[in-house]
Amino acid sequence: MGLLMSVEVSIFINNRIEPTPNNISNLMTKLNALGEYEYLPNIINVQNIDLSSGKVNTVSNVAFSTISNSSRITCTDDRIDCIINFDHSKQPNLKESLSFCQTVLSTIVETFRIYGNRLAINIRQLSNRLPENIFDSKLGASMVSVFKFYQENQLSDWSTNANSRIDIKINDMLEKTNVNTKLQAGMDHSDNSKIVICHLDINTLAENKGYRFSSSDILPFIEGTTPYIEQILNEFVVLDNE
Amino acid sequence: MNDILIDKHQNYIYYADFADKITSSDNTAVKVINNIIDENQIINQKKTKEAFSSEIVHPLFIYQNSKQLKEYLEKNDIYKGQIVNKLVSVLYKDLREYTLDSCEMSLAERRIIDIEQNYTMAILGEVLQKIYIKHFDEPLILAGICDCLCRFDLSEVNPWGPAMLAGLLNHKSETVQEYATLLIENWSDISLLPMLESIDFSSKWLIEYVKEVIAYLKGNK
Repeated sequence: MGLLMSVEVSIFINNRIEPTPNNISNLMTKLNALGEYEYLPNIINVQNIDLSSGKVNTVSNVAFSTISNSSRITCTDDRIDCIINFDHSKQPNLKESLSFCQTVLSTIVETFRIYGNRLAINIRQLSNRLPENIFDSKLGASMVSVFKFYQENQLSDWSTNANSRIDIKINDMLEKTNVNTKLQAGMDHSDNSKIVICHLDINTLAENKGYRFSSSDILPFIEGTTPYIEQILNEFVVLDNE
Repeated sequence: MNDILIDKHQNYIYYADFADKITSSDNTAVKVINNIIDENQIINQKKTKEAFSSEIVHPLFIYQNSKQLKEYLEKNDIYKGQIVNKLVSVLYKDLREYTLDSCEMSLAERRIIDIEQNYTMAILGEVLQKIYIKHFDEPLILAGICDCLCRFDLSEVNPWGPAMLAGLLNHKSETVQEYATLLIENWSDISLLPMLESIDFSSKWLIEYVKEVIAYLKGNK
């Protein structure tokens, strides 16, 4: 059976959360009060090239991780991400995970009164192991190139990518959103068998640059996109089992 | 903030502050860091030569070669990650030897000084943070980290020191909480007061100790 690997929700911002003791302590208390994970604060350094001065800047950013790395939150100057990784010791629940990520992001942007200009969801799911001859599975065969050359030669790598722009309503405002699905060949290192990774990336358009998303807009974004996520992942599972 | 410098003799570009201080376990320079971008990889040869005349790279040079520089920084990160992982395993081994209330300098403390002197404080920060997250269920390891950090001023370990401190103060083990409070007392900085005041400690003796430290910090204000 295919496996849900990770769920990530992001908001693109233009604010810096300074890693001061007060900010870290305040955020940690609020995030751990959500009850789902025990987050440990840490600092991640990011290097940027400053074109004007010709220097490399090292910027320290606030991050939170669980001991097992099952969840991670990073707050950089241009985005805040909340990611949940699944280790499959228990059955992952997609809706609950999205809802938790939303609560985390809402808590952070509300605490610092931040507005974002883009929202995004990234989900990764693994397929079952593919048969040695990928034409023997519907999922494998559906991804193979139309070129005869590739049908006659063993494939070492392949992928497909599809994007649609759809309208979703976020608090009564219509928002154009990319629904991008990438299927990519991978390998299960435990037995070197072939698998497919389904990477679903849903995000509001980059062209729309206004900082218009507040904490109250993240939930409607997730609610508006969940039906499409479920449809695509369900179809992936059905295709994967044929 | 670190300069990007051009090595005039080898025509290599390197990240000076980092390259100077990163060494391998046998204290020889990790040369690969200096060799990531060579002249052949740089697109605009004319501008490259112009750039060699200045110690700090011209912004135009960076703009025209930003792709290579980004790749360089990414590779730097990979090499740095490898060094950090190696140091994590070495320091963790030393921290496992740590005993509470020992008067002698511990192996871990010697190792931490060694890392700070032979690498950088930033590298030490990454190493300690990795250990603290991965081994958060080992109170003695965490107490050992607190003890070793007492050697440094707050300004030297900012901002990763206080970030770790927030996690350590919230630990279930009273020993870790005690050693974290000891660290705050040692750093004696009023900015750490909200951290201490936001925690509910359970045992009477620890509450009394924390009260003393709070009064001390307020007295130092």
